[in-house]
Amino acid sequence: MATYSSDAIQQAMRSSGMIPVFYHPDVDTAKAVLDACYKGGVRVFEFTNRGENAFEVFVQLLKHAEQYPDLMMGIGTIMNGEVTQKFCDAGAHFIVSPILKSEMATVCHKNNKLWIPGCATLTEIVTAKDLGAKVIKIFPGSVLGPGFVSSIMPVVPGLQLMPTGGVEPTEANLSAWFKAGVVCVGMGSQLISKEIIETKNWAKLEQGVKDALAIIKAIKK
Amino acid sequence: MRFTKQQIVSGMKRAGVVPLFTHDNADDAQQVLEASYRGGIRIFEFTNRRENSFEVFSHLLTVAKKYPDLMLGIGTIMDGATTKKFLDAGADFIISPIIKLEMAEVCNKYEALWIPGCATLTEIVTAKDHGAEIIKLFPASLLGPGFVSSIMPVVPGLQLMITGGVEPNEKNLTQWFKAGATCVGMGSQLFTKEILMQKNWTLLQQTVTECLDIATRVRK
Repeated sequence: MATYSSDAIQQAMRSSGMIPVFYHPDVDTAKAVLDACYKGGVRVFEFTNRGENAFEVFVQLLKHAEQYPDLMMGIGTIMNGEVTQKFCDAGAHFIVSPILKSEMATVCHKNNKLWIPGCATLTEIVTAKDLGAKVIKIFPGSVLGPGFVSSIMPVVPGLQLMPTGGVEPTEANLSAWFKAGVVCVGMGSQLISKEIIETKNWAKLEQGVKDALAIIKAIKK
Repeated sequence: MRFTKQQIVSGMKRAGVVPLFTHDNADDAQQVLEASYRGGIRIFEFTNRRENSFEVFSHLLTVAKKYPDLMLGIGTIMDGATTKKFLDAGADFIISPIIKLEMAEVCNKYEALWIPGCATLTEIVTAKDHGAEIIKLFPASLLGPGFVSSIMPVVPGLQLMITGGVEPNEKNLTQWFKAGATCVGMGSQLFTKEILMQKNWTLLQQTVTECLDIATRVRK
């Protein structure tokens, strides 16, 4: 199984500017979504631990992802150290959380995995940074808004922020975030819509991913 | 320590406005400080955002000796060691955009005023429990005056310094003071890029006086 350094994952996040965030209890659906995202250009993917059999689905997805040697697979919605360890053991490349929990930092550092905690205030962000977070998730992104990011960037230089939650795959929304100074956005239901999943319209998903990545590329120029 | 905590707190209440400013050029920083003083400012926050901020601040402290009623604090402090360094240099008070308890410990040891930055009620009450008499609300314009008026009845006696996006006009200042703010911190909205680029210290002095007047008027 491939492993990636924390630096390699950060580099991939910066260069694509977007990671899809997705959960589904059905393995085949999850595989189809991953395939479409990969075909659309995604190289960093976050599956989220939000359902009963998320662990089993994630393990299957990891196996499935072995055909894509340049695809980095992380797990999100992790809430404590024990679950962090479990997913590290299973082979997750990085760990994402909607909260800041220091025991997760300890486990990630021990396992040499990139830890991406979720923060909602500058105090939380600086605490996360002091605990070794190289990338910090801003959650819930759309509630805090791009204005939050532009207010705090001058105060703590060098922050790498990834807003997640309500980020839209539109030119207006994405350019507001990137102008504010984020390195990457996480996108879930706005990108991988219920409708796409229900109709299994994987071609549409692939195109949506391509479009979003193209918009980001153009903004970052 | 040139001033007691109480003197600084009451100075902030009286003025209603604390300007905040950073510059990597000591001469320009001195001009801004002195023009602000002439404009009526008696409490000034320099911010630690540049590589040479300590040197520039040390210079400003020397300048401030000319003005026995000028209180000069340092902002954008992030940890205990830096807090100690600036207090040793002679800072009158310490401001941070975050709440970090080791900073409270250092300030308490020096009997210096610690103004932590908070963005949720939990952070605010934690700061209060650790001895913060004034708490900075940051980034304020994102939280809004509605945030202040919601929490004031919950924690009586709270003294908030509103910082981040506060505008030096009647409408904006009225909203913040009506909501219950003790004072506001103002940086780029007061010391505009234009004023600094033109080094128009006369205009800076006028802007400051005007802003202090508005703050006095809207609180009457």
